[in-house]
Amino acid sequence: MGGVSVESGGGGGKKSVDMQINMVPMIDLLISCIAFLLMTAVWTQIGAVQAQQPRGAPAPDQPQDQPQDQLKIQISPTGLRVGVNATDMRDINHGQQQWDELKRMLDERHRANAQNREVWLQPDGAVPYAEIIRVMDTVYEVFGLASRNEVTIRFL
Amino acid sequence: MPVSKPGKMAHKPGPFGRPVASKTLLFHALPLQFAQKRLRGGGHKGLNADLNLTSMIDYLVITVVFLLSQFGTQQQIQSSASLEVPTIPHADPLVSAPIISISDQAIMMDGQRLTTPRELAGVTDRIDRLYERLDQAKREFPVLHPGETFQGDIVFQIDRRVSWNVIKTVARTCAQAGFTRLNFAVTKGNASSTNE
Repeated sequence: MGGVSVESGGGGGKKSVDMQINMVPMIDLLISCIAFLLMTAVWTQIGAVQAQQPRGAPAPDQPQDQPQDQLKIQISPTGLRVGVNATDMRDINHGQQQWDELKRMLDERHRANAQNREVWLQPDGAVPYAEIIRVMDTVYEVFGLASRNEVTIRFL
Repeated sequence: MPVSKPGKMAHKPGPFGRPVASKTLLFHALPLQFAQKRLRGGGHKGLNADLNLTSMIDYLVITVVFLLSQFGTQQQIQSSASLEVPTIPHADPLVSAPIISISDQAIMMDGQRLTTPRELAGVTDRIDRLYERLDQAKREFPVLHPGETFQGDIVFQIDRRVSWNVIKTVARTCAQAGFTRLNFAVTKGNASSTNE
């Protein structure tokens, strides 16, 4: 199998130019490839949430530059704080309703200042990653996707 | 698939392209009954059928190419470690970039174990081994992606239970190496089903 047959075309004549490729092993190979790829394929949808961080982020003991007039979300194990500056910060207590409350607050801010496309996150060290991602998801829901330049999420 | 039907073949034109008149058909004058029956096309159908393989092979090749195109960053993300990434409904498409996996057991880059979260407890500045690998990846970028500009993309594949302290140290190292755009890999889906 797998050879190429060349017709001799008789005893003393010229060899025929027509060749016949054996298709059986080729089809076998393709079907095996399909079976392998189908079995190993990942059918779950993977995406990403994008965030920017300043190049050469300062060490934790150094003071950080606080962004002025930008929407900030502080994430701690006890809840969330949303606002532009220290006097403006509003608390959201940890619980089942905190995500709805966060969405409502972000909606308000977004409608009040639609030009602002930047959100700064300041998570506490003890906060689990899933909570931070959930906050970023809520930002995406209200503002839009970072890949379409609708919002830029930065970390303090 | 077309099947050739012996006995119902179209008449071939005669010499010089002229149609052959039925009167002059070869062997029609033979007084043999079986020969005339065969010439009229009244015989049994042949058992041999030719499959048209061209369309079948086209279909198979297209399927293989499609399945191969599914392999890539998504495949690496799922198979590199047994991590439970968060599930959220809103997400950007995943970019192709070096992948850093963080779990309770290990911190890995492109499948190679670099350190563990426990070892990071005393680290306040950067993870040297990770920095070296990132620096190398940055230097290799123009070779691996000719014609593209370096955007500083890095993909984070993090277990949902890992605390921000660990992630912050890794992110700081990435920033110092020039990787400032963090792409947190997530599974697209309904958040309430898994994240609560």
